Amino acid sequence: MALIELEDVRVAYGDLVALDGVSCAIEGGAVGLLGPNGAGKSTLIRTLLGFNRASSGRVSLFGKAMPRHALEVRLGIGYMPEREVSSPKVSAVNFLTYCGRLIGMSYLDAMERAHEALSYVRLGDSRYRLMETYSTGMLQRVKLAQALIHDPKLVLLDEPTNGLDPTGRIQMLDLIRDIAGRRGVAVLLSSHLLPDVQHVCDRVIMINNGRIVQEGRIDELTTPRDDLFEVRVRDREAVFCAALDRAGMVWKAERGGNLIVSPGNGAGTSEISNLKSQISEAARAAGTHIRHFRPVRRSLEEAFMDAVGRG
Amino acid sequence: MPIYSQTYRTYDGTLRRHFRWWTVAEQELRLLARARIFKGLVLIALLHCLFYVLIILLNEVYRSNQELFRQSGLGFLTQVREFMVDERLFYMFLRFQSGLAFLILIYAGSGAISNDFVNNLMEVYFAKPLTWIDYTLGKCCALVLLGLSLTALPAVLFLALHNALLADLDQLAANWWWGPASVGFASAIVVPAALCVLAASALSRSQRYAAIAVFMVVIASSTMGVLLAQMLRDPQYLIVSVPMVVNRIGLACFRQRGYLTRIDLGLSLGMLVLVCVTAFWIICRAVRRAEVAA
Repeated sequence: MALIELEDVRVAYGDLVALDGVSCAIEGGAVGLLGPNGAGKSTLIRTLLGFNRASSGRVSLFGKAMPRHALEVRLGIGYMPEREVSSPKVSAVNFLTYCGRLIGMSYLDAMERAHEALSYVRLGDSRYRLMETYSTGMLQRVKLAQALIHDPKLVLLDEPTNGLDPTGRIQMLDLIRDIAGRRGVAVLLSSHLLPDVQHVCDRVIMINNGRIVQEGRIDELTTPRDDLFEVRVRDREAVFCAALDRAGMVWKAERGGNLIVSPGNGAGTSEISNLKSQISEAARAAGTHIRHFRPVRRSLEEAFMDAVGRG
Repeated sequence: MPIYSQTYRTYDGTLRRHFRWWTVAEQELRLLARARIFKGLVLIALLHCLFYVLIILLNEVYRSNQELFRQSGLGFLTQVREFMVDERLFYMFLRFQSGLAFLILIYAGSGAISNDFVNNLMEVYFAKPLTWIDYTLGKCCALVLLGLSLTALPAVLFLALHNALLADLDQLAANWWWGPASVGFASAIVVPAALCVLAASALSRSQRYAAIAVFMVVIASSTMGVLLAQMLRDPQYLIVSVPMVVNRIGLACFRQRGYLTRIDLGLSLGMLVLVCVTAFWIICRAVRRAEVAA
């Protein structure tokens, strides 16, 4: 049974369709929800929580239909919203205790968990300070802590690194990776920042204009390309480049002495499949040896741009 | 292992599934109890209560030492109506206390919902197994309990004190109804005020504006009621004024007479119910919208 199942889900705000025929299944692990601003990422998360009702389609979490079983489902979900959350006149400990009690914990349990969760997100020293004195980074940590207080099976994180400085961002991502690494805690991380997703997730769902345009494992999406090679020759680089030109190939010099070689514009399937042999031929013609030769891996950014372009 | 050195671990405790509204109410009262202005306002309300306790005690002292009072020239106290313990004393206490209770409710309630909206706390709360009904009920409950503890509770305690000092069952048989009357009048004061303040809080995104809006509505409705009643020479138009409607119900509860008794009681009750239902509907609508966005 998949943790999250969406089947042809459509969500609209009046005339504006935010999600259009979204279908996917998430088994667990750390999954990134990628998409440009306004793509429908937050709407998807809010639909999973039951805040947005699908006008058609089926949403289920832990095998339970939403929003009918919203209360049961929410017991197993931790949610970190995108917007800044603060309860200015209370301390983080009190705020988290209250959150724990809303979930149904006894006062003592909630208090104990509040301390644990705050220690975990490294807010131990400041936990008794009023939240109005907290920096953005500290408020982000409180948001994460409140999502974890009841030890959920699934954590939904909406742009968790918003407003963080580089150090804070790395610390936050490390925390999320740690949560995802723990057995049974699935993470759905929504972000428009590709490095954040790459840092934490092993799977991505790319969304654009309310539709899923690409999904899969990151290592599959970033497969080596067969039409682009990274080449370095021993010597006579200028002669080698001239040989490439003569063979109709396109090359680009990179830092470190590598050349990125691809077949010329309008190259057909046969040219692409012969590219390796054509490069060796050019090296032989230039009277040099190839020292480094490897296919260029497609970056997640390229995969994303391709997918979004298609969407 | 001390708590502070513990790290993330699984939670294996049991989760309570009911009465989450009480958690909301409790937190609201807890937050209020920390505010200095709130404490100051409650202190003033308690001083007012203390004044009435003194009247009841003085009355008892006078009753048991009438001769001594007469000799010392304080016999006139029997003629001062304000010092007599009867249903009017309870009515007057609640009437004056209603102003203070109203102020406290405005301070306590104007930010109750608006602050949660402004600080984006609704998303966090409703991502937990909390329904909009729990939330609304919790907020309403907190304010109503607060209001009643400043009005009905002292009145009932005064009655208990008075009867304890009298130690006379006949008196108790005669004045027992002051208790329910106090609760009735106090409810008529507190429930509409609490709901109106919360409705303003649900509509506004600023605590200050919510408080001002409630004041404006009360002043405007009173002015309108008086103007209509004067211009059309019909006291029934005073029904437009919520404070006067509340007072009319108070007079009825304590079987008192006054200018406001000219207003029809049924209409007054209807008006109060209408105000409460409208305010409650506004609160429910605003809070439900936070839980179900589309």
